Amino acid sequence: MILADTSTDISQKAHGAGTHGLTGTVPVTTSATAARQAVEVQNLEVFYGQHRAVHNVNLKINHREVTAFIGPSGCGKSTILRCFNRMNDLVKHCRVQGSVKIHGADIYARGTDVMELRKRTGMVFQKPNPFPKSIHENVAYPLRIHGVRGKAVIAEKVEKSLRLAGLWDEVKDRLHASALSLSGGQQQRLCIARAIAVDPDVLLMDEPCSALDPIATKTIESLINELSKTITIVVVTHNMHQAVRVAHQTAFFYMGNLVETGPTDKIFHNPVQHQTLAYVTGQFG
Amino acid sequence: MSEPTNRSSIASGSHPRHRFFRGVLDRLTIGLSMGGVVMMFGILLLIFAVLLNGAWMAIGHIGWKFFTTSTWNPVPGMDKYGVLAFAYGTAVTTFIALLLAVPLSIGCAVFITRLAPPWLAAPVSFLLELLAAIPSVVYGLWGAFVMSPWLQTHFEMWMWKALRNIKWIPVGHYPGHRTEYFPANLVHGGPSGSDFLAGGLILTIMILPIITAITRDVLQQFPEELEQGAYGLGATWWQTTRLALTYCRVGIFGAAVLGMARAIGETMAVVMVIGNTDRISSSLFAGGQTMAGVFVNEFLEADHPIYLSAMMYVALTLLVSALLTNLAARVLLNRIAPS
Repeated sequence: MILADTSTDISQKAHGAGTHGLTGTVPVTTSATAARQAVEVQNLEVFYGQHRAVHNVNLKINHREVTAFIGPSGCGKSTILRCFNRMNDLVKHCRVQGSVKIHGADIYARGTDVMELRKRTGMVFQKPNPFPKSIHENVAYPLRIHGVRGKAVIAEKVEKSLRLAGLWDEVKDRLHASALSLSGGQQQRLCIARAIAVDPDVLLMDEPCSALDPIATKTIESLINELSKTITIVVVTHNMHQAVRVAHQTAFFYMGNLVETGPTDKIFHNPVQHQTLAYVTGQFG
Repeated sequence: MSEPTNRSSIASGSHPRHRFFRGVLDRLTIGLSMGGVVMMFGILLLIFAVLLNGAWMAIGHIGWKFFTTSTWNPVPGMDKYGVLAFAYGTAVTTFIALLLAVPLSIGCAVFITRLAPPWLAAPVSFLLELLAAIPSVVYGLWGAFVMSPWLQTHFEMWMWKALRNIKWIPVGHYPGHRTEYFPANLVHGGPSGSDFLAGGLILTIMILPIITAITRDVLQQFPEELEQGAYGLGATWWQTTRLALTYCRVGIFGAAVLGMARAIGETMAVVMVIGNTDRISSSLFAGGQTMAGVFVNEFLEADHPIYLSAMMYVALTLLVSALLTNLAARVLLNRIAPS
């Protein structure tokens, strides 16, 4: 019942945002949906060597909603995103304190299966990064590494993912062509298909449109709307208009601090903090 | 034209004398680089011509039988020349070397690029390049005085004891012996230390550095975003490494081809450990000879025309087979290269 409400909100928002830009009206999320949190961040601190990149962040991300992380370069928004699937583990001298819970489970707890975590929290990167394999093999790759066997099963999953990513009709006749033959926007949708092939609960998107042209960006944005019906999405973006267009919730970061978080409409039109107001009105950034 | 800011006057030199020298220098540089290219092909052609000319007499006398017989009897009056045993020696030692060196090199390169911390990777890389700089005769000396005796008393002894009674597949028989079986035939004759195995092993050590160095350089080209992409999907370290190896397969294949070229042409070190007998044997413990090795052993003794001509024929065979293998490798390379 609650979820049905949310999806109505999305369609309204997608429609309104497309035409009105920053003035798009996003209904304030009800407290009932906020009760279901996909991600819960407590006292998160991230250090690169001696440098503290993220200061004591507390944040809740709602289930099956789109949350946008905005803020100027170097504000720590990508760093926080990369805590959610522990990609920061790969960075030398990076240290994480505090807790990140995904559906209640602390992912920094001892004994966490990081590979399983990354399977459940898909990631889409700034630059489209398809593997130099065929389109089919790109989407099949995560299935294979997580032990899915059987040609028919894989083919079915690949088709489902490509359909969800809105790419199926464009590539169904050339599934065995190289993924690198696709355009930038198609490559990014392929990467989304690849990430959702293993049915993740959360999809992390790190500036997914920054390397794309406006038309490809629009396609990806409507895809984000579509996917948020079934997957929780966190999207880091440089583009404030994009946050307005796609996100239910927005979190504004500045110099490693979470300044303000709340429904997108409120952040952009009625923020509490003067820093947020200054940023969303373009006084710095 | 007379203005100092005029581009054409700057480009061609403001003073006529400068302009003259600049023109001469340009022509000289172009001439030198063109000359270098022409000379390279010229030398190859010339080598080919000289070998063909030298081998002409043997080609006339021996013909195709040269490639189908393995008897090498240069006694004047007998004069039986067949290259087969030497070609076999080259093929077997190169095969052993590639079989061992390629996986080892890939392992080494993966260690340097993806496992070792920087403080360890740098010295390991340096040592590796140092290995490539050791003269082959030094490898040979070490092979003859250290490796061969050790092989004979330890490794081959152990192998012989392990394999001599395992008889899976009949593979024919040596003259004067009962039927031989695989893999027992590999150790037929018992440990000797100077044999195909020793030749293959010394080649393994010699081609290891070059294959590793190139594989390392190729692996370093694996894009960071693909690495992140794989990890982001939940790939393990090994799965990501496999992706990197697949991505770099063309370069790694190229590295193996270079290693093979070196193994085919390597002479001195192999001569010092291979036993130098002109026979074909399926036993790894049998002595043999390679095409390149024949020259070191017999060039000074080639005292009558047909003998000398037969040596030239061997050289021609070596040159053509090296060119052909490289060509075949190039074709294969194009086939596995991403379109």
